[in-house]
Amino acid sequence: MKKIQVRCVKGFGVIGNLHNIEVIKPLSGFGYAKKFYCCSHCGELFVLDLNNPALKGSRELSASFNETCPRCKISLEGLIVTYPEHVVLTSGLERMDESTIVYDHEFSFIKEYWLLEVTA
Amino acid sequence: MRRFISFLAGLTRFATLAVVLMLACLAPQAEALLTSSDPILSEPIPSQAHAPESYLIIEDIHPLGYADDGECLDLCICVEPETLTRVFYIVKSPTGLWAWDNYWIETFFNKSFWVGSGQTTGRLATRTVKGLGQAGLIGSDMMGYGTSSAFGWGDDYQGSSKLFKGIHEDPAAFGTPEELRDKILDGTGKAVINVGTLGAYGMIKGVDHAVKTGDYKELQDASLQAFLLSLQARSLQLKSVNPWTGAKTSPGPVSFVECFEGTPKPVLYRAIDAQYTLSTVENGFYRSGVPGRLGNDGIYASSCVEGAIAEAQYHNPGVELVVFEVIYPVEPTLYVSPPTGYFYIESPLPFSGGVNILSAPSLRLPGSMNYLIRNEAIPGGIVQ
Repeated sequence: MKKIQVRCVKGFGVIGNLHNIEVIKPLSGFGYAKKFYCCSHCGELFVLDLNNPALKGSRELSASFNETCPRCKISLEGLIVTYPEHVVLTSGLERMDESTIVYDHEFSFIKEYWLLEVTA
Repeated sequence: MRRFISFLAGLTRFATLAVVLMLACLAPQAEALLTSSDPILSEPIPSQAHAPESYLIIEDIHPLGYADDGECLDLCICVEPETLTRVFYIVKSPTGLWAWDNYWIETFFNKSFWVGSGQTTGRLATRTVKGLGQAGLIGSDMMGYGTSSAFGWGDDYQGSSKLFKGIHEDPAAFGTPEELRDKILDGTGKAVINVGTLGAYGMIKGVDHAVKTGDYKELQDASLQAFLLSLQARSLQLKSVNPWTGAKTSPGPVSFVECFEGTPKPVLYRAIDAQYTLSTVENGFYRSGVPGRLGNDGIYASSCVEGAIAEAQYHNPGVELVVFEVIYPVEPTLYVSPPTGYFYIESPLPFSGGVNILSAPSLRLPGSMNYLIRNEAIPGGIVQ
């Protein structure tokens, strides 16, 4: 797997009675967008380029991945989940209601994440 | 029977005369309301904050109409003279700015798409009556529209206003500008007759029906009534009172969406990730449906190569890019400058009507323009 740079914005969401859980998402604009997934075991983030024509209009990761997670070295097959709908906290994998997240679109930053490569 | 019919006709004429007289009486009240020293009305209207005292008119775009004494009202595009960047609108007349009009213009522009389609406004506004603002169908409809949009009913109202919708969608179907004007005047006459025959009953019935059912069409279609109601509604709104329910509400933020007819460039440009070049050449631009400032229902392009690269580099840092020419059907665009709240929307930009091309100033490369071409954008040659 290779890493690519992603422009992100930061937000804060709620899970149950836990508030101000920091999450990030790729900044979309001008028809460019990416989407985050995470390893449900360790929480490592991966990015899917939604401008990849191989997705054929889908905005979801449909293929299963035989790659191993670069951080926890466990096979990602069946373990990769959407982020920030799913986040890994110290207590384990939790579901977050995206509608609770408030993003700050005014400030963005660039960081490298693992690319989920999809080929036609 | 004839006597009865004659009696009814006479009664109708009398009612018409009575209501017209009533409206004539209301007109000065309406004017007084606008210029009232009522402290509530004297408070700065939120939209006025957008209009600095000094401004530079860069283009007169829409003659809104003429008063009986020949006074011409113009809607102008203006900029702040110091920065020359922020565009806003002002209605000017020989006697000065119509500051309160900015309020209406703003709400009007907020929800309106037929302003954005350009000439329709210029053609539609055929007359004004001094003191009453614009009493023609378009004028009162504008006011009613402004009111309804101010309270979030604009879309509904737009849908019910068949004449304007028709004119927006196919102005040519209404004939020459002269024929179009005649139709509008005819519509105005019908509106006046409607007011005359139904009078206050129609207004009350319309309000009552709207409050009970949430269906404002009946109320809103009473064009001239809408204007008068709008004055009352505005007064209440300034007091943070919902005019229909009477409930005290917190005033929401006033967003300012500027819309007018823009000029397209003959050639546009879009930069893509170089690894998708072959796919783009073979299959055209990939429509991912991902969000953007102008919505998600088309292909984004820039007016210049540098602009296309600036946008792509911002959102795809570190990626090797290829810049394509964008071939598309060149036609007038709907120029919008969405406020922050409309950024990154996951749907088509609302209230933009059926236009094929939306345009907005670029945030990444000031001076360049961004376009969203909804249909028929295909890749041309690779320029870089």
